[in-house]
Amino acid sequence: MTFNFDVFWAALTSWVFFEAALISLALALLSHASAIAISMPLALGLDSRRKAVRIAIRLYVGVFRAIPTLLWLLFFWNALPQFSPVFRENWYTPFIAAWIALTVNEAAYQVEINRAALNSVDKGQTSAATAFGFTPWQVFRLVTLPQAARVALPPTVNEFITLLKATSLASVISLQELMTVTNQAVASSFQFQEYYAVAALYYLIIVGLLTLIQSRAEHQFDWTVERSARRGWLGRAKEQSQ
Amino acid sequence: MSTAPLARAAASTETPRIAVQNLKKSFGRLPVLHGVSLSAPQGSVISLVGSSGSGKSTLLRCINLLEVPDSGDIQIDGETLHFDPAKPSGGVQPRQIRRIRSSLGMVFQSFNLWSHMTILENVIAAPVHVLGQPRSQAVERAHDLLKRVGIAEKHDFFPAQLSGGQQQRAAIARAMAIEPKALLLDEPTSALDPELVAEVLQVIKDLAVAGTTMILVTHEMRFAREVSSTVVFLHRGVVGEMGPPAQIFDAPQTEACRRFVRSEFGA
Repeated sequence: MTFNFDVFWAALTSWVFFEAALISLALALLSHASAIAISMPLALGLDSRRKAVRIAIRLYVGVFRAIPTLLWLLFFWNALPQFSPVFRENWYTPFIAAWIALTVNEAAYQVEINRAALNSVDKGQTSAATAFGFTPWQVFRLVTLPQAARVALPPTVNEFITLLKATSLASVISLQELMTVTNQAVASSFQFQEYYAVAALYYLIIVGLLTLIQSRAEHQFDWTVERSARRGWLGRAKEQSQ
Repeated sequence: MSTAPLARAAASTETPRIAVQNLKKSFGRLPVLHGVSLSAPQGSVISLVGSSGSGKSTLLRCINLLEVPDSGDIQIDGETLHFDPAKPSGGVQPRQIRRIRSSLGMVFQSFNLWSHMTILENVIAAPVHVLGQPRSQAVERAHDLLKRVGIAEKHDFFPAQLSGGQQQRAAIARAMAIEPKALLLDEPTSALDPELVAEVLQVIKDLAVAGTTMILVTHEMRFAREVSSTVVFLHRGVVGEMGPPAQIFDAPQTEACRRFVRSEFGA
């Protein structure tokens, strides 16, 4: 059996596959964004003075890390509607269910990354800000957060890549993402090589672009290079100031 | 060496820039300050000396309220903060604490410049975010200050690219940028290589001559002698002896101070 390039090319440039790839990417982006938003207070809570808060967060992290992502997806799509009629209405689509499942799952992983990053910020950095009269929120926003972001970036991008690939699991709840569309194309044609190659290429392109953005971002975070010598996001050297 | 202090002698009728009365502070069950009182008139340079563990740095951090005193009074330019041991945070409001902090320039032993900001951003951060100055005005003043401490051309560099001496000079510029009522310096040269100490001391000396009120924790006895109007010898959490440098270093009245001076000058 030979590789049919025409089938491959037609699929690669088709709207169906492109849209499916967009759905995968959007799901990963949304899930990760909301996971980070949830994990931030959780990370701060892990160092809370209240023991009950620490235990509750540990419990959350323990439960959500132990149970497979696939099970969470099935649970939120199939089981949740049994709890409340709210989840039997039209708004509750496979996309929403997958978003919730991946968010709560990912937040459990992101907590430890955020906590390590927040704790890596030198105490002297925050006490200097406090000494100049910054409010606690300003200390966090202007000093702790940007310094922690630098530490958190590489492991967070790693998490994102894992998460992007985990969106393929949402094929079990019939979300029309990349793997679902691929499986449907294969099922009716048996042209495994061609369609798998298309899916693989889409994942490669997305992760490749992401890696590029990561290295640009790390360059922006490099605080040992003179600012005027650093490159802008588009790769061109910025004009010398003054 | 000249024994005449560079700083102006204090006029006792003025309201002192900083006054501390009967300040007490313990960490858990460990008492560090047992009732310290001192006064820094405008334009004075007060050096806090003493062996390690005598409470010098804690006193300085209490004045800036980085540590909340257990009891006592702190007066900054006429505004009195009374610390009530019965209340949380001594009964002083966070807003008032922040206002006091933003009127005192702090210089740390390990510089503590914000590593993710350029030198210029470091200097304008507090004026812009705390005092609400327009950015352009803060930038203009920052360039002046950086020129004054001799690192004008480094404004676009990050702290990690500068030598320790340059970083500490930048930190002094940052502290001066808020136009502080007084400058608090916590062992500003202790973390520096010996060859970089002089450039930082020169900047501090220039500020003293210009009339900046300063409270300085230091191990540089010769410098303290040269620059101070008053030297405070702290001993086991109390003021062991206080007076002009000539008295403390040449004619100490107490045995503890005599022993400290002898060990510091190694004679």
